[in-house]
Amino acid sequence: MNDLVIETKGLRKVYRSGGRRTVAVDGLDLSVPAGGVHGFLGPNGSGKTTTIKMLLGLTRPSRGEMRLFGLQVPAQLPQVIDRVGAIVEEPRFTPTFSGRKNLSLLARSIGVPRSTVDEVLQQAGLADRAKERYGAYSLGMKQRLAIAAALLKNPDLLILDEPTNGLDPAGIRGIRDLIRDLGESGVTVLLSSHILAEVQQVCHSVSIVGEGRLLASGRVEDLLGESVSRTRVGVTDPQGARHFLEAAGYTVSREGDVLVVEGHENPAEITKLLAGKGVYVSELSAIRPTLETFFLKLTGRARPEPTPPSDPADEEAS
Amino acid sequence: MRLLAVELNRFRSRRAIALLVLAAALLAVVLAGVTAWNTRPLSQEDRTDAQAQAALEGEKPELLQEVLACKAAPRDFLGPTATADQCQDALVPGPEAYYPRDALSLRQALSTSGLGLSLAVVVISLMLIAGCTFVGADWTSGSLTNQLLFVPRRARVWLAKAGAVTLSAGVVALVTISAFWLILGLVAQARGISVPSSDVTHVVWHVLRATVLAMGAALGGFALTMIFRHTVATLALLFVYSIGGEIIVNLLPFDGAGRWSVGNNALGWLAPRYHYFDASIQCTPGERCSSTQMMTHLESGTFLGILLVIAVAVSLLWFNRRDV
Repeated sequence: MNDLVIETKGLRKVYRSGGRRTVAVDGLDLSVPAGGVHGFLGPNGSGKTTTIKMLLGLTRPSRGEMRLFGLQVPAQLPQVIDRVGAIVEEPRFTPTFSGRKNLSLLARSIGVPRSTVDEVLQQAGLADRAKERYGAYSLGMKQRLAIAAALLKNPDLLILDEPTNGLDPAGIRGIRDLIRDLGESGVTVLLSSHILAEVQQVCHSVSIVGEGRLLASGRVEDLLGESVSRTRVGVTDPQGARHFLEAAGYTVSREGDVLVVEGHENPAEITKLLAGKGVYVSELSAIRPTLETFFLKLTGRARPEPTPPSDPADEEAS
Repeated sequence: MRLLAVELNRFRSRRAIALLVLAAALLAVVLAGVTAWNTRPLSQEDRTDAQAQAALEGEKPELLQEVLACKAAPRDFLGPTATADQCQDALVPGPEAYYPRDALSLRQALSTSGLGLSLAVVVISLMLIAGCTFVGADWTSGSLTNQLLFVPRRARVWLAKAGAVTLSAGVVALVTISAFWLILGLVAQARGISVPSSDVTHVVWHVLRATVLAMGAALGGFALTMIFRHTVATLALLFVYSIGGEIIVNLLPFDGAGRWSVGNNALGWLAPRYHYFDASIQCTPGERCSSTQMMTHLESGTFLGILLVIAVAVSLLWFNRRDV
């Protein structure tokens, strides 16, 4: 329990607006271990940003517990905030100030030396444009400045909410490499993103949320290993082969001239079965599960549950 | 202190605020210049014209008849201690009555018709806008969220920003309003006009009170914008309150309602002795009462102070509790 950097238990957030209640986060139990890059995935409106905002003290939870580095937040947030760098939603700075001025003010507010500002600007690739007005920055530059701000504290935990939004391919790659390096250097990175290929490339573990609840969590390989194995099978007689395979209890679908078979332990079972029936396999290839297919399957499964009866004690107007 | 220094830096770096400060400084200089010009020494031609007009007026038959009547019964005209010798001077206007303008007087500049009071009102309004826009821009750009990611103690952030707004508004008001009076003082000295020490005292106290009110206005504007999270929303509300409030005060069905007018209270605080007409006081013939009332500094200060304390308390509480 102690090596968890982020931990939430039964976290719930209800927004009220114009007499309407919206459950943004619904009893979320989240655990992020120390070190490495942890993906935080979920469809739009699944409660990712609300969860991050609650962890950072920007939004008050309606119910539940949260801990950062073992300390209760928001009560003890001031004691850990210096160890946490974060980007929440889109970059937000004063548009009439330069990039450097924006960072300098933030740095001075927590006693970070000016030299660190130059370092993080360099790290984010903004050193040459630091004197320009933030309002004149492109979206990608704004995003990089936000990353620079998050790095100002030399954090042990970096919470990044869609950090590659608006970046060009080279920018995305740069940020991905930076995130990977930080993760490998011992910093814990919580990466909230909807670009699943990106997450799969850099994350060691993921938590997937839907409808404000945790749907799955664990190491990426473990989660993908849990996915049903699928094999593409090319045969001379697809119709006959399908009949034999279905009769043997496999799930079979047809994609053009090939069959896609699910529900087997080992692809060798398929060749053995079909050969025994006189049907010869011309192609056999495993379809590797991706985070995207796993995610889509999982989030597609999430169904809204009836809203629990109103409890005035836990509902808080926002 | 570190956070206060950061917020002071942020305050003075804002372009909109720099423009407001510049406007206040320019206004002080321009109004001082206008006052100096409007009270410039009389030319020989001005004096000659005034003398000619006075002579013409003094020859009018009805005025001469009135002087004769006064000499016959001076007590009826000029009071129980009057003598016939005083009638000529009292009833026949001298050339001074026809001078095209008055000489420079600090007391006059500080009256409700003087530009000194107008300057104070405008500078205070500008500082109120500065207080609103300082934090309104933070909300609009969303940079306040970023700031809270670095300093999550909201009360501390609120106090640092409030401190920066209040101190800066105080300095700007003190400098600009003092500059106005200093310019007038120097002009008076250059013209050889002796300024009574009582006038100097009134001016000094006025400058201090105006500075305090500017600080309060900036703090109030800041506090309200922290609630509404938008400069325009706050200014619209203040506009509606100042206009609607005056209308409501005039409609209140009890005597002395003018006491609760924001305008009367603001002027009551700024002017040395502020008298206002209270339409709600209905005097019946024979009754010893007056619709003209005086607002003391204590009364107006208490009224404005209570409004400020309410705004500050609600703002601080609200900022601590609400989602960002």
